[in-house]
Amino acid sequence: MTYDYAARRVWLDDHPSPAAGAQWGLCEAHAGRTQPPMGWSEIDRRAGRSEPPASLVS
Amino acid sequence: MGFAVGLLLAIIASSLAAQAVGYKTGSTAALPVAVTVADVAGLWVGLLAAAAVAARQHGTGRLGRDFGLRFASPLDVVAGGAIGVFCQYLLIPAVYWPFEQIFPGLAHSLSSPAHQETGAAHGPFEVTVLLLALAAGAPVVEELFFRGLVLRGLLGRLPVPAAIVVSALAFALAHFEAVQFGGLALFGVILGVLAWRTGRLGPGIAAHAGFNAVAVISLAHFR
Repeated sequence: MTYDYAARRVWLDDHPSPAAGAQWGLCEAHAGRTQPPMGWSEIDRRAGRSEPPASLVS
Repeated sequence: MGFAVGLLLAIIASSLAAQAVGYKTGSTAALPVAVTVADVAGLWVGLLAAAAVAARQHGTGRLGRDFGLRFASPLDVVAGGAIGVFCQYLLIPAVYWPFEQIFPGLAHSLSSPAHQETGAAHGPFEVTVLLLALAAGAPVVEELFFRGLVLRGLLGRLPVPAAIVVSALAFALAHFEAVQFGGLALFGVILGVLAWRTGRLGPGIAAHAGFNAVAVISLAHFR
């Protein structure tokens, strides 16, 4: 798990880059139960996780 | 004028909400749901006031009659909603596809504002609140203003295609998003054609609601 405190964003990766930022190693089960704090967004980039289609909000 | 007032109220309301929940204004972090709701609610006050004043001064004072704010049948909802989903997932991606071949990060940039608006919604309650704001309230108020007030006003002064294009450009500009401008302008043209051809706002409201609803739901689902 990589997080950026200023941007209030969390990324979940299988193999994060060592230079990617502040990181914690999590097992699969804990990563699956991770809930970002209120006001934060989470981006799951692990293999097998599909990305949402590009979307606009008008 | 109504848009400027709405924008000012939106800035004030969202700033107050941001302070209340401890969100740093100007940050790229996901917007707390309270900030998004305060932002759109502030804008709605200005847009609704502009429509109400125009209806009172230049029309009958009844929004349904003056701006065509009505649904003719359930078909308006079904067909309009389908058009909205079609625009969100087929038409706009098709238009942006050639540019994505040149700029590989474009899809991510395209979704960035939607991610920011929906990224902090966790759980069914917050997603429902966002849906009420973005897929129910926003379509009614924005259609009333851009297609009811702006487009109808322009139709009396410009040829039909020019009036539709100008109202669509105003709609896209009002979102203050550079990368999304083309897609929103194209969607604005579709909404303008719907309003002009049917003579009412119902189908456009349904299209706008479908467009935003599938975005909110898909972004919440994949998170």
